[in-house]
Amino acid sequence: MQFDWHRLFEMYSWGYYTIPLLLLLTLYVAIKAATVIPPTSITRAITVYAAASALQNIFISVVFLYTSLYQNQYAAAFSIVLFMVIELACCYYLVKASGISHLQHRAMQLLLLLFGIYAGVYTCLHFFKGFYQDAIGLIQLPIMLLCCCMYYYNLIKRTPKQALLKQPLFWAIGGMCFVAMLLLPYSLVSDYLGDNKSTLPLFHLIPTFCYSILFFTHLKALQCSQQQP
Amino acid sequence: MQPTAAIGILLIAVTLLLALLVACAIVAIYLHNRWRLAQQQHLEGVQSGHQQQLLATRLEVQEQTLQQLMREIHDNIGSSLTYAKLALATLNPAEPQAAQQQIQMGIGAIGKALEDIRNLSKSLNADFVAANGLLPALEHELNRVSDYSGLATQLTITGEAMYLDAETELVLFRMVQEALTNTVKHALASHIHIIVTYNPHYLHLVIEDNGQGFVPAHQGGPQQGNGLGNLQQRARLLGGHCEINSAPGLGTRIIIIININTPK
Repeated sequence: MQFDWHRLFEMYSWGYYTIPLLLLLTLYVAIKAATVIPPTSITRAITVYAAASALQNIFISVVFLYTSLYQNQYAAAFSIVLFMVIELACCYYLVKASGISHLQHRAMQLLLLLFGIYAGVYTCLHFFKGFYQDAIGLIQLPIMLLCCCMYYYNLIKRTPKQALLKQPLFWAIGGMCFVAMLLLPYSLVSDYLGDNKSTLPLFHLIPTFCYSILFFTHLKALQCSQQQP
Repeated sequence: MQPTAAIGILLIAVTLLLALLVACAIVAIYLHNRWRLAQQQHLEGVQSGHQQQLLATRLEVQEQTLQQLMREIHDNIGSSLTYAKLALATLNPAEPQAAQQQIQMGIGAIGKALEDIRNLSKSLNADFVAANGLLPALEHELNRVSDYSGLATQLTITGEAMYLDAETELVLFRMVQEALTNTVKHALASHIHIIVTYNPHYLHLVIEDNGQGFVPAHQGGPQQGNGLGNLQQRARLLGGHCEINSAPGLGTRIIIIININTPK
């Protein structure tokens, strides 16, 4: 196995380092919050999400940085799909923690199940075809967006009890909503850009920007969660 | 420009636009929530103020009831029992005729005290108002006042009588009791007239007497005790108002108007 230093610096030059930094900070704060006080469902969901994201990032970095592993792209793609399922499940748990109706709960469970089946079947059919995860992302992101919209719909309908900026769910789901909305056009064209060997580093700033916002909002959510009685 | 670069620029533009859109939507939701929260807090403040007023009125009604109880015991029941005690204590067995008469007088005084206790019990018992309604309670109260003070009383009812909620009826009844007590104590009147007018939308209650009257505080007269002010406060609490019209030598007229349909 040969380590590709050039690729590492290339990744850093895209501003990619902000995600690991924020991610590790989120993971640290989440684990601390989960161990110090009895963890809430929000803390649990954020911890799982941050841990999954960290593992996936480490795995992808290893795959990308070791040229011999880079040949086996399917492993990286599979890890991304797995992360998508976990991401959607975390989004579902966060929205569920906000208190939803029975019907909304059932609808979300059904969507999650259908997405799991779709992701599984699609992975089985395309496992050895390299990067295929964008087709799954195009389904995952609208479902995530729908879950977030469900939360906002309930928020508008209900009688407010507390300022929104003090509610951990408002921050956590806000970050999810940002990611779902902003990554949607990126997922639409990323295949095309990849096929055309695009080297525009600016494109890669889009997910960096989205996930930076997401982890920042999750940090804020954890802070609010700790301040709540 | 290469097509890839063009798509890239378009992608970044769309992403920025979407970011702005999401941020605007979230800010709008936040502002809406903040506005509703402020409304909610204002409403809770008003409700809390109303609850405090209600509590204060209840305490005051309780206090008034205790004072009435004390007055009744001292003025009526106490004097009847004292009379009975005197009659029995001065019995002279040597004069059987006079002794028999004194025993009868003592029994009569004890009977009156018992009757007063029964009437007082009905008058003070909130359940009596709740069970029988405002009008029978008023009728009973007027009879009681007439019995112990010797005043001529009259109750006139116009319109189709209807039951109000128990709490409103009780507060109204206590207001009338307060007004009657004031009349008996201060007005030097010989006649009290209560007129109750029912309307589909409001209840009009007038308590008038032919007493010495006074110059109300709002017309430049001396400040009266808490009683009249309390009447106005309680009327406001029931979603209505209370007017006090009086002039020296012309008696007093207290008008209470309660809007029946107004939620309190």
